[in-house]
Amino acid sequence: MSSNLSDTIPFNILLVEDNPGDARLAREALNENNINHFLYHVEDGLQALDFLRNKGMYRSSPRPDLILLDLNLPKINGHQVLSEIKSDENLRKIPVVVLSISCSEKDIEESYKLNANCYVTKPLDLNEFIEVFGRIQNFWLKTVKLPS
Amino acid sequence: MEPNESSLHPIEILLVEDNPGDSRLAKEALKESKLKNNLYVAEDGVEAMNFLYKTGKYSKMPRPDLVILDLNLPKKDGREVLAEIKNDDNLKRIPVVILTISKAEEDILKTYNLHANCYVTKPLDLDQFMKVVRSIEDFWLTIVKLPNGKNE
Amino acid sequence: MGKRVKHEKSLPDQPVDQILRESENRHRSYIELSGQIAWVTNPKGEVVEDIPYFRHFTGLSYNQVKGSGWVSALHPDDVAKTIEIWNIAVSTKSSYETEYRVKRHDGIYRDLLAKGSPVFDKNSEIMEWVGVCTDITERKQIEEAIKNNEKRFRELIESLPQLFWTCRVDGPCDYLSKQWVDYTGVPEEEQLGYRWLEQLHPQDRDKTVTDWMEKVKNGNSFDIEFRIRRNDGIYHWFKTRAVPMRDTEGNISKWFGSNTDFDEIIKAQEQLKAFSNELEIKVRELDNAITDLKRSNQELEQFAYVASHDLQEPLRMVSSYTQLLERRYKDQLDQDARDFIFFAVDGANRMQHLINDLLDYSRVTTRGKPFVKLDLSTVLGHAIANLQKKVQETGAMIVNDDLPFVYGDEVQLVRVFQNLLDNAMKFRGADPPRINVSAKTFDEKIQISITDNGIGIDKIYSDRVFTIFQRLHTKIEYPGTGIGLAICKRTIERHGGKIWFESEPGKGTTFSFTLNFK
Repeated sequence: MSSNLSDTIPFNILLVEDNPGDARLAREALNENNINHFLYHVEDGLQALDFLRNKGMYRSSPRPDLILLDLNLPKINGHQVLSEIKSDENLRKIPVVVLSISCSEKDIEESYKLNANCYVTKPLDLNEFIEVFGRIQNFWLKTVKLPS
Repeated sequence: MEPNESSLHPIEILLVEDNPGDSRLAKEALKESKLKNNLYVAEDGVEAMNFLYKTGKYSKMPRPDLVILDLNLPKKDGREVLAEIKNDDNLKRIPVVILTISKAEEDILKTYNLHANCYVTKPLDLDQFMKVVRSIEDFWLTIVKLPNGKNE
Repeated sequence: MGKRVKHEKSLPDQPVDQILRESENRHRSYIELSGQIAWVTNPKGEVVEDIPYFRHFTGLSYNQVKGSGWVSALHPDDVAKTIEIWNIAVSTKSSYETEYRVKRHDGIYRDLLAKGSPVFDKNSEIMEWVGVCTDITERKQIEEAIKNNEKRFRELIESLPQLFWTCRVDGPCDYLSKQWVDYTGVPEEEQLGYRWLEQLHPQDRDKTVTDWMEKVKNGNSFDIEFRIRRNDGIYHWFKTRAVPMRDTEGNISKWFGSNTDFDEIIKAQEQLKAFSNELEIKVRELDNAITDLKRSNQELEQFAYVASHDLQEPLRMVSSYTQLLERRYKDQLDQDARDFIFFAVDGANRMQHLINDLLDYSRVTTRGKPFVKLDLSTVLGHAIANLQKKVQETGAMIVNDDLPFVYGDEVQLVRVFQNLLDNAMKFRGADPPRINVSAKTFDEKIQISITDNGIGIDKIYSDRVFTIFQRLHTKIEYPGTGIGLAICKRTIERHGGKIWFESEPGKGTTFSFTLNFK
């Protein structure tokens, strides 16, 4: 169903996550699936924006095909990062999957209002965690057509 | 399963699709979902907007929790519908899954820029089509948290 | 008109009596015209000349009236007074005026006004007395009637509790009723004119005068309120209603008023206002209390939520990485290591469940929704639907009575039924679960009972069963954190009801709870 091209060219995934434990888990979970990808990891929103705009040490970073964004970030919070991305002409087309432990109505609503592509809560259970990441990968990297 | 909103209130899905064959297949695929859901079908862009704005005969219709939108529609084009939805303060938060035949880069790019939540191409094969609908359902109804907390 | 008397220049040799006669005729004519009863007596008061008018009036003859005979026409009661006045007049040689009753020719006594004057000769000696009597009977009757009316009027006024007064058109008061006088304890004479203002409360005096002046100009009835001092010094509020009395031409001749004590009414109004103010304050306090409660609920929710999340995160790390360890190094681990890992993971998982359960427990109140009318049959239906899998697995049979409508929170009540049914199936005996849901209706409450044929609960555990996290079995025998019933109890209590159970170990258990119709 997906083009053959996507099987060979690895996807670039940008993970914006301040918790090293969660970041590592995400990496492990993504690896469990057989989808070819590169995972880039930044620890706060400012780094994320620099990465996306190729500023500073991120001068030569690639454009990600998918952004996994935690809401609970230091310096500037996840919603602000989301807002910046989705109002930037060049960056807005990149799908952003908001990942958060929060399942509060407010957070969810706010994220969709700011044009997050979807909102997923991080499961507590490891198995479920791995499963969710797998499904995210499967859906966004196989089922969905991404902008090039 | 603990009782929550969704066990009492099903998820409302609006499918905007002018091809009755496709909408029938989608209906079947969605019926198998683990989560209770209601499928509404609008056959053109104008009907879709009427449903969303609850005008005329749609005054008692619920707000959809998810919109599956074909791009090529009679009367009002799917791209226009998408733009209208994402420009409206109340409707913009409803996730819109584009499900359409076109693979054209410019369509994909344009719709993402209009804040379509995701873009999926309709396979020509019927089985594949059902599979795609099921993965949409699987992802958007069970993994994703929709606004309005219906699948918390 | 009378007779025309031709006045001729008298000739010197005209006889004297002719002149006199003509003069008499003229006088008679005057008297006739005036309708008065003329008479004449000698200086002693004796009739020595005919007094025809008197005789015509009384119907007496000359012989009857001559001398002092005329006195017999007088009413016996008036004789003494008349004689006294006469004597005084004689001795003072001055005119007199008096009233006496005289019997008319038809036998009826008439009131006459008598005026008498002495006629002096050239030596200033009284020559004769002349007089005129006027019949004033009608006038006297009218005066009497008026006086009676006034008397009756006054009696009427003074029989009413109101304080009455009248005022002249130009302002001053000329009558204050007995009630007024009694009330104020000040004699009427001391209050007439404008002195009645002194009985008013000092603060009300000026206002009353100003008000009065303005309203009087209008000419319509009006009301004024002021305080009057009672004879014991206490001031009471009175409402006075002033009404203009008009004469036959429509002009105001007098102002007439009545004062009604409406102190009670004023006092009641003031009390009402005070109560109303108090009520406002209480309502505001209540509002504040509700706002505080809402805020404290929100704070509790926030606290519970944040606490649970902050507690979850390290747990997730422990649980996830321990599991990863197991996955990745499975082959390199011996059974002991795997057992250790199992206990670590299991502990972390249970901790997670406990935290979630605590969050749920707190949310019974913090996320409780307002009550609406619910069909309990539908609620039960939802609960059973959620337990479909377990029902099939255990082969359970659930029957229910017709269930009534109640007021409650739908999601919460579904959960109550679900917990109780789940327990009924979980704690089953050897036989497939047979569960019966019944309802009993009382005045304002309904009682729902869920009866099973399970293992039962010993009475000694009555209290523990509803306590949070208290379990009666090991988790290996029957899984669960032990929060289900605690949440049920909290929910039912939030709905204003009670929950309890009856059981026979080995036979079965009945859980009952009450809910309100309204």
